Amino acid sequence: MEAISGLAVGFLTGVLSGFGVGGGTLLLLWLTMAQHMDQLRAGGLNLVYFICCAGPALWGHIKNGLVEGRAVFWCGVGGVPACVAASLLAGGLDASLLRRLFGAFILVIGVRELFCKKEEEPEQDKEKAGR
Amino acid sequence: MEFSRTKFGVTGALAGLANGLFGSGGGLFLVPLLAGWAGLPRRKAFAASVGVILPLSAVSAAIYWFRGGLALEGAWPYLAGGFVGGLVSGRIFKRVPLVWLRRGFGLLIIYGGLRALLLG
Repeated sequence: MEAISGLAVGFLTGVLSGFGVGGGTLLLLWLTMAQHMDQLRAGGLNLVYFICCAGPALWGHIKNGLVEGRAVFWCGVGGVPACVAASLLAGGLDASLLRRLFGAFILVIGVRELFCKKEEEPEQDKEKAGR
Repeated sequence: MEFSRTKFGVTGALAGLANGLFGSGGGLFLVPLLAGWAGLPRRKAFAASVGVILPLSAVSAAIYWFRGGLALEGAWPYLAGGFVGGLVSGRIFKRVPLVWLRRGFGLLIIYGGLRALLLG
């Protein structure tokens, strides 16, 4: 039974994760609230989970011509060293204030996204076609 | 808009910092910055965020593992379900209305933002 619910939850959050709309957050909620897993173990599982899920999703995005390779590359060039450095720092640092600032920033963006207007994509297509 | 390595590098670095410091959350940065600042079309920004978080997660998972924090007993249903979900996701992503992606993402980052703001 547990295997079936795990498969189902993994599948559903996997579809969302592959869209880039944060299925990992939902999976973390499920693991900690419904399965009572501790935060550290759930965090580790979530990371490995994302690797399993993002691989095939990304393959589909690439086949559909939606991945701007150089954008991903340069984000990686900036991101991977920053991630390693921050992980090593994280133990000895009080990240509370940073986390609050980060929270306020993404809250503003979230409200803007939630109330976004509908017709943005055709404009971008037009712009692309005109180039 | 002209391609700027610096903008993408800085966006990636911010996502990496968030992921490294808070354990997750880098993805919440990525889509808005990639689309709003670096000038990627929205749908491509969602796809790129998956491509950027993948190596960041791999790095973070490796660090977890070195520190002995990776416990994966009983995880296989999630991993298998996630793999199939990812496959399906890659196939249907092109047809999902952009406004759903944006609003779904908006809800998610409002939750993430409130949590970070209130819990610190």
